[in-house]
Amino acid sequence: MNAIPVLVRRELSSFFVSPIAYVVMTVFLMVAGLDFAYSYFSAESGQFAYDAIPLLLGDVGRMLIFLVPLLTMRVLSDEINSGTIETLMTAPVSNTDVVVSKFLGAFGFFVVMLIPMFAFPVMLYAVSGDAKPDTGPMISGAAGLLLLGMAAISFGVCVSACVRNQISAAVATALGLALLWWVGASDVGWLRYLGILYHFESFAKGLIDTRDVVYFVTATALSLFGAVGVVAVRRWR
Amino acid sequence: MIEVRNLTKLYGETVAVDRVSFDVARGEVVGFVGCNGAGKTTTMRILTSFAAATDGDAYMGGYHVFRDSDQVRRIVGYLPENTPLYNEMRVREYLMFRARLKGVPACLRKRRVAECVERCGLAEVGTRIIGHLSKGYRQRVGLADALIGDPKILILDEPTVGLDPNQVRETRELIRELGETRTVLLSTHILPEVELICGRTIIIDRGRIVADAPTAELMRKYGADERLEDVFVRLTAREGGEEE
Repeated sequence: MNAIPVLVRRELSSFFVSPIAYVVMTVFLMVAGLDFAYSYFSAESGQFAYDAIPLLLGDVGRMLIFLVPLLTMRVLSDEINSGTIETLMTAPVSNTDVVVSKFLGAFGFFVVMLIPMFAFPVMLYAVSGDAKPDTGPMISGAAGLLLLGMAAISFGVCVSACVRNQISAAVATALGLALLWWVGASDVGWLRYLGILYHFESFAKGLIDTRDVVYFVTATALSLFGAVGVVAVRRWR
Repeated sequence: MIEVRNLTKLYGETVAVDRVSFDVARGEVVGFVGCNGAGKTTTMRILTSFAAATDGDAYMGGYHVFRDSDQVRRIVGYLPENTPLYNEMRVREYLMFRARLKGVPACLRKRRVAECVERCGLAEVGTRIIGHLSKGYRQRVGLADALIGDPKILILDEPTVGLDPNQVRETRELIRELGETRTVLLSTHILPEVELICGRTIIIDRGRIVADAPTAELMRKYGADERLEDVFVRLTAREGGEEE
């Protein structure tokens, strides 16, 4: 357990020297910013204050399906491929320490990536004049993004533990998440319940529903549990 | 210090290690010799509790490599084959990270890193990025990492591969020095090296131990007047040379 802070620190610093992490961050903030600006120019006057945040959140959620895999692809597959897993796993650390640290490192970077988004509500208040923006979606949206990111990142960490090639990890994670997004549009109740963005929708509208929170927390726990299992099984091969 | 009993490892149908047993006493420097694919690395991975054995047991300093793997990892320093390192980190930064990870107390950490840097001849590259280092320096960073937790047992997988003759000599000298206070198991296929630094030699071939004796005795027994190489070739030669 003492190993977790040490590993998380290394993990985070490796993100900040990785070009791909900066590319992801830039693309993310640029698209989110353009999206926000577009809704400003296209909305009817007055409507913008109410619509901007829910619309932005919807798009950001969809974007994360494709950007999160680029953040998580290397976390374990790169260690396996370069062989550093061998020095890592022969130090006094447990499988759980390693998986949890990988997750927390990527999640930490994700949180840093979200911070500049605080600019959007600030700008919204500045430009909306008399029309008072709705604070609900801002708060629930922030919570929703954190939960969505948490679930997507843990899924990515699990996939990264399974394959030694980073690109395969990214593609498999993106496909998996896209599948989870797709089933959310299903007519079958239980299939729809598995949909990852289906559970994000209410957050974007300003609602925090316990069922959605339970979904994201469960998905995270299952993925991380799976990742620990995969790391453990590697010893036997 | 190291006890290995009937260790077996299967990869699917392939037998990588076949009922291997040996002991290494405290303070011994033992050479673990064999062809490529003979099972050296697999054995070492099991001993460092990186891999699990299919059958058999191994104890490091009295701790079982699978059941008490956490204890084993605390007393073993390991230099894996090909020296995997985090290429984006700087040498001193990496060693500090590894010292923290291996639980070196905060008050000792700086001193320990400085010692290992000094001992492994890394002083002039301390602030360089690992990815930019030459093979020789990488190898020494790996060795410094193996030493950083002040382990009782050192497992070194081909510690002198890729070094130039001067570095090879320095590294051998270092290993010999380390062997005075620690137990060392090192694998190599450079046989003169074994003659120079290992008191005992274990020869492994196709997963089985074919010889285990003090190096000098081994050479006498097989009538090789000068070189261990002759013994090795005799023990591991294949009919018709069907492999590799």
